[in-house]
Amino acid sequence: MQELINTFLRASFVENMVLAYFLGMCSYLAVSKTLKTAVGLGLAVIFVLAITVPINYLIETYVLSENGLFGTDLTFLRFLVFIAVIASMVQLVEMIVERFFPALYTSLGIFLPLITVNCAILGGSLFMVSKEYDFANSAVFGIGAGFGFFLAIVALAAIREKLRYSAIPAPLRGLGIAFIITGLMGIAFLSLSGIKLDSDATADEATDFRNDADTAEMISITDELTKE
Amino acid sequence: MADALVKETEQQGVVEVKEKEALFSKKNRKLITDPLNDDNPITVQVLGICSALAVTVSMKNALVMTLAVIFVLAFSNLTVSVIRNGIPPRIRMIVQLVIIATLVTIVNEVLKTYSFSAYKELSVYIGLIITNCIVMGRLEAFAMGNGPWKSFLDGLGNAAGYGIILLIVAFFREFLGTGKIFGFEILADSWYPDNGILIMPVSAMFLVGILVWAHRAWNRRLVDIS
Amino acid sequence: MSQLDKLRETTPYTLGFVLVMCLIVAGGLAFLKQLWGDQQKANELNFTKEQILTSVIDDMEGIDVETIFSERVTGKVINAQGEIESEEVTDALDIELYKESKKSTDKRRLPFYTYTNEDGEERYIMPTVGKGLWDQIMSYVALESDKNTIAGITFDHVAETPGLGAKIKDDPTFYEDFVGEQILDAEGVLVGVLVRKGNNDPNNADKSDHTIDAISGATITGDGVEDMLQKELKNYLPYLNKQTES
Repeated sequence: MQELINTFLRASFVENMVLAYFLGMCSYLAVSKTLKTAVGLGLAVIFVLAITVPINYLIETYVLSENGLFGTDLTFLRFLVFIAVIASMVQLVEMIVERFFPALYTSLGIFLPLITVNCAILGGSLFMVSKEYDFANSAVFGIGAGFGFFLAIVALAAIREKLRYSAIPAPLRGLGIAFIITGLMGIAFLSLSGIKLDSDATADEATDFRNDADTAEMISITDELTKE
Repeated sequence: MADALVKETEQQGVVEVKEKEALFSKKNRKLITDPLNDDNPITVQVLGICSALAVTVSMKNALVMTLAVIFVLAFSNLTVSVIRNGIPPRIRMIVQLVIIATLVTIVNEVLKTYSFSAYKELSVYIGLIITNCIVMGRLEAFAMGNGPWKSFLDGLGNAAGYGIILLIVAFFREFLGTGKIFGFEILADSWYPDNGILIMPVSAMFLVGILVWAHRAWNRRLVDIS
Repeated sequence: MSQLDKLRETTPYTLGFVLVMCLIVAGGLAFLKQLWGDQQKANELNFTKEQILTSVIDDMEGIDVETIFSERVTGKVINAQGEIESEEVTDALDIELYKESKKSTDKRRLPFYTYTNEDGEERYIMPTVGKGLWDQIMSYVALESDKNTIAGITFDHVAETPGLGAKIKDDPTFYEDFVGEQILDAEGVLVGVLVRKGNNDPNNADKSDHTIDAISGATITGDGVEDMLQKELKNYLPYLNKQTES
């Protein structure tokens, strides 16, 4: 359970797709002009990520890998297969949104289908592979990554709505200032990058050796500080 | 001078006389020059941002990436344009993606065969060309509605516009971040401490933001365009 | 709508299109793999050999990797219990390191290379794999004939940050620090090499502290290097100790 919570926190904050890895920038910058569209896109991204990452896990493990259905290493088809899964998912989302939320469909316009090429979505599946998550972690990772994107885009949209009343130099208005704000948010998120949420800390003697050295160092530093 | 092509269209039942354009006519040349300035994919169309941040730490990487994107964009535009009338509407996006993904895989395989060191360095980024919004964006906006040669040129132009921005950003990040250009040391390590922030992707956000500002200040037509 | 437009909307056409597209793509890519597969394998093999040699040869300028490797390097496959599973260098080179690292320790097959330099001295080269900040990192560690002092080391990574984590591979001031450090302490216990900040020894003149300077801004990659060396070199100790005994 702790591992799943860690995965979620890591995916949504420490390794936020948008603000730590800078993936998904195009739709992030283009759709964050108003809060409503940002919320709509954010929810769509959560949905797509939450479903495609676990599905791609199953495909990677049971079809593409050497131990899979075909018995040989088909990982060179990974890009193609993952993208096909994502495209189908987005097609489905598009149909659902068009049917049940027509207002949102109109306001999102072209950016709903552009979720297909959102680097954050493919990145989510590729990260799942490189981090070797199992099924449960893949699902949580997908939800977490989507949630992270949602937070980031809603935050930027809120800021940009307020900025409409600011006196920004004309050439900087719109896209230019959006880049700079994102950069500032990115710096803020840099501070989270050192947080260790790993539950796979091993209990090797070697690692214990290091912990002892660290503790010893900390004790000596604290001693020195308290002396003064 | 201009050959006349007689074309009969079913819809109109009218005989159309179509002028065959010269290969590098003014309109065709515009397809290449527009994306370099007025219609730049990164600073105007808001496409292709992700890789602009990831690949611009060294000019060598930016250059190889640009060449790869030129190949993929031009040929995917061409391919989609050729088969555009035969693509079933229901699976349009999937077909486009498959074409892009195949071309990217080809680039990867070529690198792996002929330049293994480049492959090791760039394989992760090359894969991300598939999701480079420029490729998909131009397929949808142009190749699906225009002829093969024009689409090919449009691909070249947009990739070139993308490449210019990439190289400018990479220049600042590599030069000020490590004192090198294309790996050659210009500012010696002994007196120039590497500027760490420029090596982080965050800096690219600021650099592109400033580039957008500069671009629009210079080309006033673009103010408030996006 | 033209006839073609009406045809395009139908399901059989769509399915047929998909089928043809899949065949062309899969067929084309498979064809390229056939055409280029051997060259790619040769590239990988050459790269591995180059890495092995780089760990022991200071100046790789103008070195013919294939010739020097076949002349000076022998290899075998051992396991974590210290037994030899194969004496063929080709078997050692064929081992897929990352895949092996996922197996349990007692089942792992480990490549072990011996390099004999011009003076007849032997160096022992062992590959290690680990995890950096983003993805895999790996290293070839070369030990002197005392099986304790590091004679050389090379690093490689998949996706570390250029200018930061990637420095383990690109920056000589990092990897050259390892030369002369000892991996075992006075009692013969494996310490590996610690990658620490505040080492106060920028030129790494002190070779008895088992520590080298970390790269500022690349803490996690440095930690990954330290962990990798400690975990992986442990597997080679049984074989190395057996050699000393004989």
